[in-house]
Amino acid sequence: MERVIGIDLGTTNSCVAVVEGDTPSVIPNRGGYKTTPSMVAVTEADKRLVGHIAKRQAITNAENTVYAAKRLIGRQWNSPPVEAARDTAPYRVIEGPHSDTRIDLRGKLYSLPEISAMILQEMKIIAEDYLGEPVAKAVVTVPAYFNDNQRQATRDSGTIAGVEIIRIINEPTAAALAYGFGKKIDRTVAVYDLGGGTFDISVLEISSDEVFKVISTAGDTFLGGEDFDTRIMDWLVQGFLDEHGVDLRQDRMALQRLKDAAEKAKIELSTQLEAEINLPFIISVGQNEALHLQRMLRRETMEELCFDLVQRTMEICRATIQEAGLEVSDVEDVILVGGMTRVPLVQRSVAEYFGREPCKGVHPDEVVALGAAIQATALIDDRSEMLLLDVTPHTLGIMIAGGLFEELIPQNSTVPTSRSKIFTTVRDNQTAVKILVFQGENERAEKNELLGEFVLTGLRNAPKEQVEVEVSFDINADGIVSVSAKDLETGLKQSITVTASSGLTEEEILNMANDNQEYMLDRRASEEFDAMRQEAERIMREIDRSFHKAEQTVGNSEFGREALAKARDLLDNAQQSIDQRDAAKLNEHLEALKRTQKIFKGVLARA
Amino acid sequence: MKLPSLDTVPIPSRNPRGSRVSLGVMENLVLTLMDGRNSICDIGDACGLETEMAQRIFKRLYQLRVVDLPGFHDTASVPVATGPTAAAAAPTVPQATPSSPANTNDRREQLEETVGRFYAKLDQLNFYEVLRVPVDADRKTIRTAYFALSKQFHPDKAFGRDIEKTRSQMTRIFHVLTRAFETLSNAKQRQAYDASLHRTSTPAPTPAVPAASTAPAAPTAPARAAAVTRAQPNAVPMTSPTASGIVPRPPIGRPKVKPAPASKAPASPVPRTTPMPTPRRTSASPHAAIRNHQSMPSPRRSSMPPMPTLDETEIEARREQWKRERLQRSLAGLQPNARTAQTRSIEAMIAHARIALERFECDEALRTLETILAAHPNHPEAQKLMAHAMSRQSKSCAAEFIKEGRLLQTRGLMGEAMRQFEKALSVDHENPEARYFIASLLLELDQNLSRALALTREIISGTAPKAKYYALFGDLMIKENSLLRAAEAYQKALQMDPRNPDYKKRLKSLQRA
Repeated sequence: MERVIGIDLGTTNSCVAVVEGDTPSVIPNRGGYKTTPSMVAVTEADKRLVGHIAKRQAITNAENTVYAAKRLIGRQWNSPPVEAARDTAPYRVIEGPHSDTRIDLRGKLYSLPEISAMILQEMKIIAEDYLGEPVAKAVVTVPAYFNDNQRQATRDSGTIAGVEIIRIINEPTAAALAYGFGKKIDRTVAVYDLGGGTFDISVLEISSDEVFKVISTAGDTFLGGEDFDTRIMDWLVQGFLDEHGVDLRQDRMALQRLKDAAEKAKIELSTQLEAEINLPFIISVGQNEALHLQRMLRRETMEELCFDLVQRTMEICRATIQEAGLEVSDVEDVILVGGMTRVPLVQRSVAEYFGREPCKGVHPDEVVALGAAIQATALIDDRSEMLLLDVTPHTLGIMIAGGLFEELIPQNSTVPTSRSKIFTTVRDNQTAVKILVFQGENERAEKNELLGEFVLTGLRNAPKEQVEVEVSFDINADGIVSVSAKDLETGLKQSITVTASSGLTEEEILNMANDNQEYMLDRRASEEFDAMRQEAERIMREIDRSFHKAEQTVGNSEFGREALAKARDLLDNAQQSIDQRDAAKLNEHLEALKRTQKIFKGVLARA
Repeated sequence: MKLPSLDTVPIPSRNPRGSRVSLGVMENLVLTLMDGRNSICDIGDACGLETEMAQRIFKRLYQLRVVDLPGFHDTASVPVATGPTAAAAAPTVPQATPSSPANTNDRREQLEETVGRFYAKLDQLNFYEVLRVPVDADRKTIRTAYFALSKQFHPDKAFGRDIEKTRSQMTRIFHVLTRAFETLSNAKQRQAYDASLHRTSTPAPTPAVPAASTAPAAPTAPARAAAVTRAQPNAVPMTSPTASGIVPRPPIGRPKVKPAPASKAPASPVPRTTPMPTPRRTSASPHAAIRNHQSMPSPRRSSMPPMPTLDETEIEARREQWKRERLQRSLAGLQPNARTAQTRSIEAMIAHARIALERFECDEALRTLETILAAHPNHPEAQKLMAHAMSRQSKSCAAEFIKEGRLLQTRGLMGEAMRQFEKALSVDHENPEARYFIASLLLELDQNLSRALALTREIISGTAPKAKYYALFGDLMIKENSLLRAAEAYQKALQMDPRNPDYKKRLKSLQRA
């Protein structure tokens, strides 16, 4: 059975897990951490940094360090989240050619899937290092409320990274999987997932014959820990403005430091009642003067600042439970997922609303990756008994006359599913209908997310409302939407598999994938070269040191002098190949160097 | 057959048979040469045997558990019968690892077979049968059944294997399973579904879907009679009005009587007022027999007067009157609500029924009219409106059923679709669309073509035949190999609808043949 891993691609942190034997376990990275920050940076030397190293240099290299890419992935250029990011993010957010979003890092434009691909690749390398074998397939998680465009973009990032994403599953579902894995329980659970950038609530039924069925799911793809940080940051900036009359927002570096401090304070306040925020030399005014920021943040203040955010989540919970046709008391267990659920305010609100203490038996940072690994193994392994029945989070439909949205697949329908409806023409002698596929809940089609469009031509000339066109939607088990329209008179059919309408084209993805592969090869080559170089240099130094003695010993004979001359030449050549970064030559020289070293040792030993 | 490789070194079995095995000369010979170091090849050479012979001998010895062949895995467990000990000891199948190719292939074939079998039956099963639960099952049972079946037939269970066909079949099966589960879990939908099952008459395999059952080869007469008598009590139009007020009746005394072309049946001279289906039906077709039986007159029908024909001016006048009345009511703050019918006067109720009719709320109208007629059975106005309502009801009902049926057809639920079409036809006997769709469905399923042909002939010789009827006729003719007639039919179709590329195509392909 081949190796598969589960990757939790989070907004702030990512995590990778694998099922070994029968237990799922999280894979720690080289530094020993179980989660890796989802940050990507490009240094001055044009070197790419991912993960902890990127985070460490974020403050000094603020403009070329990307964080929270997940908030922008798969979004249109003119959507509110992108606009918000444009204003607040220290990195430059630019419009792309298909009215999508790109990021400018040191003059080069990167698309969001590319950034996510870099993080994905890093997680893959972590897994490969740990397992000692190459890993090609993975299951990646996304927020349950992600729409189709965002999911497509995540799939694209897998292609670019060279990881075959065999399935994309929802984060709350993955958490429920990890929660119920191996236990024979019959329960209705609610998963409350408040992460760095997104919020999801899902209600699931777990049955003792290992079937996990999602009943309903909802969320907000732009509400998460980052927003809590922003509130604290705003409070700090406002306080500073009041005190010193200086707007800290003008300085990108100061902003980055503030953000860091806000995040730290928020984490501290989960265990302490107050936290100190101390940022000396936060901004310089005039010639030699600098201002400092020092403030105490109390837990009550933070709860006041963030109260409405938590309220928003509880509203969504209420709606979801209702949608599931259940009462709050029907939920037998509440699972908290995501770092933000450590905040006491969140825990209190959840306990209050559901009327019971949330389950603390799962690790909020790791459970999603564990669930993804479990699902990955279940798909690949023939003998697995587990079955996951997920739902589509948004209604799917088309635009009809008057700009209205006609729904075809309702929200929270179990996938795979297929539905169709019959439509007709609105004008006499209309020979073509344009099918615009939308996803969303709004009555007006254009307020929903456009997934794709196509035109069905060749309808016969007839008075209006005489021609019948049947439109069928199909979501398969992989979550891929395909739409077809059929003229019922003639049987003419036109269909599309919906790929992201604003996003990368096939060609672009292939190019990026190739670029990425080349980059990885280059990187591996240079790593190998560095290793060789170090060894070569060590041997050369040793030979150098023992040259003098060797000269004394064998310098008299003809033979000895020749040998020494050869050795000297070899040293020069080796140095040259190092300077030229010629790996092949260096390899040859390395062999010769080793031989020479042995000879010298032998000579010196005899002396 | 898999033979052990030549360099396998046979050793005496660690798990020998308890009892004696009778071996042949060659086998005994090779056994003497077996010393734990000679390979099969060596032993064969020493004995002067050909290599294949040696291999076969050792395989047999292995199966008899006399020797062990390290490194050899026998894929098929061959029950070896030798002597009296045969029954007692079948040779042990070596532990093949679960992922060995043999096991996965077996499992895969098993899966294909199971899925294929279920898929073939899918169209003929109703929701209860699909989920394999009794009709009175409670929600928990249904849920458990759904989960258990999903574990078998969800497409993820065939993930990654290259059996696209099986996977798509599984996807379809899963669609039906989910639909069944959703319908039967929701109380209202389940009620409606149960009601619809009752109305279409029968436990599946339903004679109401005559094509779906086994053979167009007509079953023997007694069996057919049995089927007929079974069908009769549940025959479609006979049920009393259901709670929702729908009264599916064949329309009384249709003004149009289709002239019978090449009449087949000894048609009884049916008066206009009987619901007997038109005499054009071939009694030769076994299903005509059912049809005739099914449409026996019921006591109710005789009390129904012929349908009034309203001409334009009258309609206009009435409409105006209704509008005025409605305005009056809204000014008076009255809600046209049938629940208060008992407290209102007859006139008011009639007015209400008219309004409801105008709004195409046939249920509402019929309910009101029924209450009126219950009290005053001879009220002329009420009767007229009742007839009007019922004809509209049947028409719209039929249209609804047809629409539903087409949806189901395109979704692939052929059995359900056929049921809907039959319902449509039973509700509105003269409906050419219903006939057309039944015929085309039969053609698609390739069942009961004679009935399809009969139906098509009817609609063609009816009023306002459409181009597609001719096209269907053409298709049927092709099935019967009378290409000339098919060509004629396509010509006709093309005449009626010159722009349709489909007919042109078919005509061309015919002309080439």
